[in-house]
Amino acid sequence: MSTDYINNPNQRTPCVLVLDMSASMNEKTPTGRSRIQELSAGLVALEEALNEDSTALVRVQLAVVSVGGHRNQAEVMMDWTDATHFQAFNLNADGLTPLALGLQLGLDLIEQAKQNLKASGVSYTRPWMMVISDGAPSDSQSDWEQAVLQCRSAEEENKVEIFSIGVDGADLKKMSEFSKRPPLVLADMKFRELFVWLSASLSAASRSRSGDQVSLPSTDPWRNVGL
Amino acid sequence: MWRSGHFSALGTSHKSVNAPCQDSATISLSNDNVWVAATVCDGAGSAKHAEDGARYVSGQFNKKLIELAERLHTSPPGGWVNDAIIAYVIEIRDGLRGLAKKDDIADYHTTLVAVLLGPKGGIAIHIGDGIVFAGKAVFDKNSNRSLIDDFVVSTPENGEYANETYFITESTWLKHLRILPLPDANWAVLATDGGAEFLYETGGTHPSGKAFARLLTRDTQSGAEPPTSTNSTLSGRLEKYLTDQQHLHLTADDKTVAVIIHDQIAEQYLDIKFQEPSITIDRSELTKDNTPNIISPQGERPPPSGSPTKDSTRLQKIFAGFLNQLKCRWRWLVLFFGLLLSATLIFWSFQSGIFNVEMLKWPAREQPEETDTNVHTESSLRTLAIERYLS
Repeated sequence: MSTDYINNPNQRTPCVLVLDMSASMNEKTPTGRSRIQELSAGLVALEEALNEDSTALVRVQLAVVSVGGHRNQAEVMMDWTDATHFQAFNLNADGLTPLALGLQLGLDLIEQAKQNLKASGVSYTRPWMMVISDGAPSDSQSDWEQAVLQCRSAEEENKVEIFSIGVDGADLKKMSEFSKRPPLVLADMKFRELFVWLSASLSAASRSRSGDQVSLPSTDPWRNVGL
Repeated sequence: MWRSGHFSALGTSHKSVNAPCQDSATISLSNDNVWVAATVCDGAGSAKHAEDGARYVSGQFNKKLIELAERLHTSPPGGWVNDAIIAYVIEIRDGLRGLAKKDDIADYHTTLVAVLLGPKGGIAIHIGDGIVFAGKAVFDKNSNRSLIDDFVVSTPENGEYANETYFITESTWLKHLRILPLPDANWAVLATDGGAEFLYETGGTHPSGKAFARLLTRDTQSGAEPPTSTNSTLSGRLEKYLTDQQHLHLTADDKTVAVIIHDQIAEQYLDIKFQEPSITIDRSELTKDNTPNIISPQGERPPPSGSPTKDSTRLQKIFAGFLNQLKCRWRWLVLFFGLLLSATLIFWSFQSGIFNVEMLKWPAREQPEETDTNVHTESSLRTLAIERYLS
């Protein structure tokens, strides 16, 4: 874990990224690069955007959960890391899409982050979970339903804000089940724009105060508005 | 009688978006310089007129506190103090409605942290986050220095999330109004949540002795001059501390700290020593519940002072003790004057001749008269009666 509450006692806005790394992410995009390569480039853009935002840099912390991969599991790729220490890394795609496991692992990480922040006496805003997928979940129906229930319950109890992002080919019906927000569809693999938006949005959320309606930047730069 | 200073520094999060500093602080003295009032306010991040709200509330509430001080000259403290504070807040909320030109004053969201200190202590008033430390620096014969090792804390009130605090401008403000008596305090440090970060030890669970030393005593490391009789020096010291590049990482928020300190301590300024307190402020507790979190220097957590009723009881207890002392003194006075009056009356009586020394003499025992032959004893009477009966 790369968090430093001693030298940086600023309040935090934790955000866990649940990333689909199933084999379908190896599909080529019109740019000639694969989806997973575009996603990796998106993480680089996220790192750059965070570094350019002095507020987000000291207040945002990130974790990454991979879904699929060669072990066909949901795994913690990057444990909680302060934005100041975040460094983008390359992603590899393989296997199926056990998204239910990824959602549950994401929720567990959020609880863990809260406990650590409380124990360190560092205040925090409501954590975010951004789920990005390009396919249909491969979990059993009961596992899926269980995960959906947990996500909806966590959202209703204000424990987390969930954002569901569908990449071309995603099962949008399934993607709409685990969040009160309708899923947004990524246009033309604009992962870079998506992650720049994420950085700006986390920055806005980290500055928000009681009673505020956080106004997030427009999603137009990356969202497929035609859908 | 009091020295004071305050400074508000623009946070980097506001600087980066060209937003103004949304904190405000006001300090003022009563006409007789006996009381000092300090109010700091933190305007809500994205409230449209946050800086106006913070400025208006800090200025107006401070005026009201000075009014309260004038009333305390003529009326002994009691439950009415709580009522007066509630009335002041209502008046200020009305003023904000005037500024907003509508009933909804959410555009002026601001917290409230205030202190009124007089010769024998005072009171802290708190809605939302921010912090107050207040206590009495006492002279320690052993070390020949004044020590600060004893203080009370009025801690921030947040919900679970940092962006969930409470404002004077919300309809639920009364539920979050905390009034804390500060008996016998001769210094106080107030801060908004950004400024509070400078008052905690690095790591965040203890008040920072270093910060207190920098704010209240001579800063030997930097060689800074101790505050003089002018307030500007103390404000300058705060400015230097809050804008120090080394501390910018502590918070991206606006930061305000206000310090008030009694002249008597200030005179011994160079000799004040901050003794590491025995208390621990568990900041992780601050986000867990909404109950006011006031921790005594002994580490005990006294009953929450959140409700005016409980505060009223505490106040009444403090002032009942004072009144009892007063009653004891009156008892001795009455006795003294009673004795004095009695002595005067006796002296006057002798002088006027109503009494004289002869009267004080024990009357001489009267000599028994010679036995009268006609005096009949019981037996003789009985004999006489028999004789008459027989005759």
